[in-house]
Amino acid sequence: MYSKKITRNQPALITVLLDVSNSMNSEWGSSGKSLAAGAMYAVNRTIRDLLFNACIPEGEVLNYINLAVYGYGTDDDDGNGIGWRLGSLSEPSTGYALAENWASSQHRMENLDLGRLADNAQLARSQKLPIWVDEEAVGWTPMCAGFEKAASVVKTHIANFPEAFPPIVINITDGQPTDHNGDYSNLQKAALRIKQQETSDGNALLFNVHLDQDGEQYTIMFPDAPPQHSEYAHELAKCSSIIPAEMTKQGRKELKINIPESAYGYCLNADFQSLVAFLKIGTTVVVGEDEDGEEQKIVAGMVD
Amino acid sequence: MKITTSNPGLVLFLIDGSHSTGATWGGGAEILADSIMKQTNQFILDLVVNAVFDEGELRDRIKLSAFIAQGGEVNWALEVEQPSESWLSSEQWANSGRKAEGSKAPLWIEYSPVGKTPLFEGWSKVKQVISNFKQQYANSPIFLVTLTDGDFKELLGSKTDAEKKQMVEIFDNLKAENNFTHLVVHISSDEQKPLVFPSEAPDDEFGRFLFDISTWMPQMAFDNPQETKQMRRAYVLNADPGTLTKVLELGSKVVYQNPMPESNLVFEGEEE
Repeated sequence: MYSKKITRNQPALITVLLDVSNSMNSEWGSSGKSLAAGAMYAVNRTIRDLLFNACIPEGEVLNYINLAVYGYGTDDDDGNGIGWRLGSLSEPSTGYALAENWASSQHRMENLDLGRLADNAQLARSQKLPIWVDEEAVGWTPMCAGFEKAASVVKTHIANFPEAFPPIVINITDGQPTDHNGDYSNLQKAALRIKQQETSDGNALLFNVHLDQDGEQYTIMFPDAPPQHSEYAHELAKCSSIIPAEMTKQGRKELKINIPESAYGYCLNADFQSLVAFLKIGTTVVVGEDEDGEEQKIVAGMVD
Repeated sequence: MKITTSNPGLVLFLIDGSHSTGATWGGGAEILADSIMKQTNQFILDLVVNAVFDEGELRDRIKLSAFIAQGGEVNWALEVEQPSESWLSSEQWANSGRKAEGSKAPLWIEYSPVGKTPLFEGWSKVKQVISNFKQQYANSPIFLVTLTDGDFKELLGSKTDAEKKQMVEIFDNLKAENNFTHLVVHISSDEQKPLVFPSEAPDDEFGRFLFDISTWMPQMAFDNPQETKQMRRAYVLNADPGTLTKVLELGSKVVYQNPMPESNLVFEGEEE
């Protein structure tokens, strides 16, 4: 389980769900930057890492990672608050884009200064980053609809690649869903529609990044039980997948993070560096033998 | 003492089936749990071939028991239903392995890795099985194998010194009886240098604890005089796939009470 190496015949799918609701305008702790700005930076950096670490082994873009980025906020284009957010591409009929298409679809290159948001100031100020996903924050939070959308993308991908590493869905949000009718079992059910789907290598994975205005006063990463910080934190952790053992191992080894055994793929109020680390761990896929090349042992999310 | 039908041996496995054993190890693609299953099933097959069948007839020379610690529980690990005494006679277990395509040995033990590693509870359970067995077969040899990937370390940290001391004392009492061997195998996914059958305890608390609950290896396990120069503990830390295979081969000698051809194990501190 969760040991399948990705190839061009059996590529990985990574779907990012981004809360683009109005409350993402809130300040991230005392950083002076908004949650939306921090999330935007982290997502673009993750996409860049996936591109360079997994999809360009020898200077040419190869289709190892299929990618989807959807934003959810009520002022959006399909009437349900869900919209495609990946670069200049139109939403593909499959719901995900091939690397050869998304790799060069960035809106622009940008020099980012995240200031105090980044613990490592030198790192933050020197980042020239391709921007595939823009910062935005408007409207309500249709998270259940976001999960449903991700579930349909996962379904299509599994139908096309039933032997592949299980699809990974990463949800980045700051607040409570506004489409669960006050009943969290609706959120759990929507999450299950992602997690119950499976390839021959295991069930699809749902990881949740939870940012709220309490900032680093309440920071939790990879808990081994759903936290009691708030009902919402509890429910969001509960609907997260258990981090596969291989990801735990790589996280401990490469990033020196103490991840407990059988931990939930959930983090609450991580600082910026921790958020980037979380996304690295959550997007760990190992590139395997190519059709016409030697086996490559690249852990996509892990190489800096 | 040689095992016979009136003086059968007891082989017990306590297997760490926790979530972390779902990781690959030894630089290969195989996950730890699959390696553990493959090796333990091969070990059991070797028991059938070398100790249970004799001139085409099945002899009840080995009782078998196995528990798996995973997901906060310790459960019976064999396919055959758990009997009240918690061990199976050779007649019950020898032919009960499931034939599976692609597997050299039948599958007596199958599991999927999940949850945490309640090894303390596991040791308490096997201690009870051993006590019951001793009441029926006072002079029979007992071979316990604990297989863990070491993620148990975090749980060890949650135990008090008194609880740890109590567990060591339980094993000290078992060790005081003849014919009890406890082989503790720490299988690592970290690709660290193995420590094989050391004579002295490692420096760290975790290693020392596992060393303390293991027994000395019976000298009969080693048929090479060079290997018996000093007493060695039935304890292996950071075993890699090759080491695991050889360690279990060596362990089987203890069960048969009959040395087999020398192994190629490299011991701690010795030249290859």
